[in-house]
Amino acid sequence: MRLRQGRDNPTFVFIVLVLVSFVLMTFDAQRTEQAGFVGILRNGAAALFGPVQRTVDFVADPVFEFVSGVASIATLRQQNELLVRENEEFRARIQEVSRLELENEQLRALLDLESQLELETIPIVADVTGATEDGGLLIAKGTSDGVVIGMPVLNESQLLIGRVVQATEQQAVAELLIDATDAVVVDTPEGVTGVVTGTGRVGELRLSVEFGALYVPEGTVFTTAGFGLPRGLQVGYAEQELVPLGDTIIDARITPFADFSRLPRFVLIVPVLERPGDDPAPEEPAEDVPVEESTDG
Amino acid sequence: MDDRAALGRAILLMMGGIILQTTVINRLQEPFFGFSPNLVVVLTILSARWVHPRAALLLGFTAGLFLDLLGGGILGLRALVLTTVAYAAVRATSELPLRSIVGVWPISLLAEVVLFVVGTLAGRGTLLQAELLQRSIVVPLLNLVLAAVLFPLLARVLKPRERRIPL
Repeated sequence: MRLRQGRDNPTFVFIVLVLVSFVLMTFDAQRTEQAGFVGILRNGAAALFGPVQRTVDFVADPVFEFVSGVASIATLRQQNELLVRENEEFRARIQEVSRLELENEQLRALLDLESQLELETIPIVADVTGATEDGGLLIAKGTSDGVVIGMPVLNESQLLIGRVVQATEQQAVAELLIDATDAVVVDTPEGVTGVVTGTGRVGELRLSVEFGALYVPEGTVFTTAGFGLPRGLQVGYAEQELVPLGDTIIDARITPFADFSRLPRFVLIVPVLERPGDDPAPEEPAEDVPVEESTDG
Repeated sequence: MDDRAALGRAILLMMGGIILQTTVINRLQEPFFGFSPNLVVVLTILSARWVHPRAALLLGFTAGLFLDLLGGGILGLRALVLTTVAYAAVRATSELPLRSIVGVWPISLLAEVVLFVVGTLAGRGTLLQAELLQRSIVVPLLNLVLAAVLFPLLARVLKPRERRIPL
């Protein structure tokens, strides 16, 4: 009887549910891959809500586009004037770039270098059906379409915007670069190598260079340096010069190239091919010594 | 019987709320200083007025669990937040409609604080820390407005119907 009273008590139920939540969090934090019980649960939730989400998105998307278009008429005029001025500037620059391209081609031929930015596989094009509570993208393609956790996600302008962090059969979730807790390794043509993480703000990324930092001039472009991502994808640029602290460390903010203020309508998910030299080679285990499986997430 | 019917309708409303939240409302950030109201939190708080307290807690927990499963975040984080929200709503529920609506503001604030604290402990600090102060001000206010709009509809859908006594 006392137990029954306890079960009827909201405080008792609350404590039980809080404990269950903590157990789930602990269980989820220890998972190493998108499989097992959690994977089945996520697949089930996606199967339950996915079709309705896609239908609602199909209806809501044109409405959003229309409202967004109407709402931005005033700013569009201003932007138009700005773009006309920029266009004139770019015309002047194109001539200079053409000359530099020619020179670049000649130098490449001389050094027999291959272009660093070449997507060697066909990207998966997927509709964006919505956003998660954490600001991630809900993508309408999943493992059945070849999407795998860790794949880089590009926007319509082919700029890196995030990585796939969850994939069920029918849909996937991409964590945006600006929200990313997992670091993206970047480098510059000048040889500065660092890691970029999100700050949660739309126009800001955090750049950390642990050692060997150099003075980074204003306008320096940071591109992906491999390590699980294709090399050479543009990530962000330094809006102002970055001066190393104590001559070795940089902890600064850079500006992303991609526009994170609105959701893209579709994304490109890029299968990554392993390239020699992208990742540091793991140490070879000694003979007859069993290799333990990695427990890293 | 009425309780069960109200619970069934609350579950359907919550499922609709989750779909709307993920497909429509999370996109509505531009007009609201970069934030969007949280329909699921509002539904959890207001449902507690009409469904059994235990059912309200389970409803909040399940809604949070589905948000966790649909998103790429940590499983159990939103479940914990929405369970806490439901518990606070159960404790603070009142017969006065105005008090129930106004109660959405402090409970939404509580939700933001719990999300920040537990999220930081679970390693999601970078994301959640950003613009925490603005978020704690804007989101509960947006939820309050949403609650005022939704309250009459929820009252109509979830309020147990009075049985007519045959003459």
